Amino acid sequence: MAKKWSLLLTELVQVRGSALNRYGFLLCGDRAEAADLVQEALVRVFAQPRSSWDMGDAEAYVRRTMLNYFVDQHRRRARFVTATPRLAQPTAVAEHSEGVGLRIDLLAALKGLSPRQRACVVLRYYEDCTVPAIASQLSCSEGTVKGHLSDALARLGAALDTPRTEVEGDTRS
Amino acid sequence: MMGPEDLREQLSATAELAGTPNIDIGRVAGRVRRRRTARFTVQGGAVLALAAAGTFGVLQWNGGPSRAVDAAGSGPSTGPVSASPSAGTSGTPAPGPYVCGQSPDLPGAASTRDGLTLEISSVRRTSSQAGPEIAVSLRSDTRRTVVSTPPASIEVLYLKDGVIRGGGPMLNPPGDLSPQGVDMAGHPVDLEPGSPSVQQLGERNALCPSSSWSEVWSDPAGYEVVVVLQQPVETPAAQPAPNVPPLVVRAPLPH
Repeated sequence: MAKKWSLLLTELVQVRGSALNRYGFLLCGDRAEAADLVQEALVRVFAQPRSSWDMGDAEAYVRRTMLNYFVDQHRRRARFVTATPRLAQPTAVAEHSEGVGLRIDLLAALKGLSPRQRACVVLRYYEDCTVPAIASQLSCSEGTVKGHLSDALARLGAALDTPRTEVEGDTRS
Repeated sequence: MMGPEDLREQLSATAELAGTPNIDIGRVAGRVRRRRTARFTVQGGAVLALAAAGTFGVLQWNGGPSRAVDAAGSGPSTGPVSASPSAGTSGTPAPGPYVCGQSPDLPGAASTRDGLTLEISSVRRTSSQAGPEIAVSLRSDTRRTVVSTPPASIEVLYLKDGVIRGGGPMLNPPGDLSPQGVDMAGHPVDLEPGSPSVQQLGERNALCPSSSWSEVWSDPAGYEVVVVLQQPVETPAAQPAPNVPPLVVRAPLPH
């Protein structure tokens, strides 16, 4: 018999909650948004009755849902955001200890990317997904993924004042 | 220069800035439960509507306008009458209608079927001028979710000498054989072995004409409570089974 969904939900959050939170944080660049993203994905995944699944399946569903929801959400509200003056900027992080500066810079640079570019960077260089796998997850062509990665790395390089990083596509894809 | 490996390291380090996950499991579980309930309600409502149509809609009773009556508040008592319920589409007689002065017709009734058992948890007297508070429990020998009848629509009958003296929500005045029905939105129930679901049925105060609660409570031993529950259906793959007999349980009135 399939494990009861509430038990699986609790186990997933306890065991993999931190990993999901980090993934969401890299996508969103904001702690509160990351928490919302994870919780929304959990609700959407667990609200669907399934005959059987294990924690690995559940985590994969949640990650996929987080990605789709993140991209869709930003697509929907992009027009609204550009027309709305920003009243306040959420503070992404509070720490400013040594070594954190570069990470904050990277976080800011990631925020300068489009949602799809950011998703490609996170999937490629954080999740270690191949280009075909990214293309499958984002429902686009491999060429589009490579284009996103190339543009993203160029923008990251410019923002971080470092030379452009070459897109890895040959060895991992 | 930031190469791919540098970028990986920096992304991993940056991810650590996410801090402790702030995930409210209780809130997430609550939202999941509400969405599942809404889905089951929609599915179960359709299933029960079809079941109800099969059970009640196909009945062709002798005469009378086609209307549902939920209380017996008018009309003279004519004493016991005889009615011959017609068969459902498969030939299995369907229960009801429930008519004052008549013996309830409950073909194939049982308290347990398909691993589901209906029991009366409590019958409690609260006032000498009102009906008892009744609670029933539904037990299952396996873990499952079923769509049942909402507690307010579960039929209760008060019998004396085997004859209907009150109850509801479906109760026709004496001699009124018109079809009965209730709105049966699906009521999802999560069941686990050893953990029955208890349903508070609320008030069923309707009595047949010429009866009163003070009269009933003056001789409670002469009455019995009968609860009739349409056989719950399992979701999400349940198919309507309009001619499955109901689950029926009985208990005496408390003194």
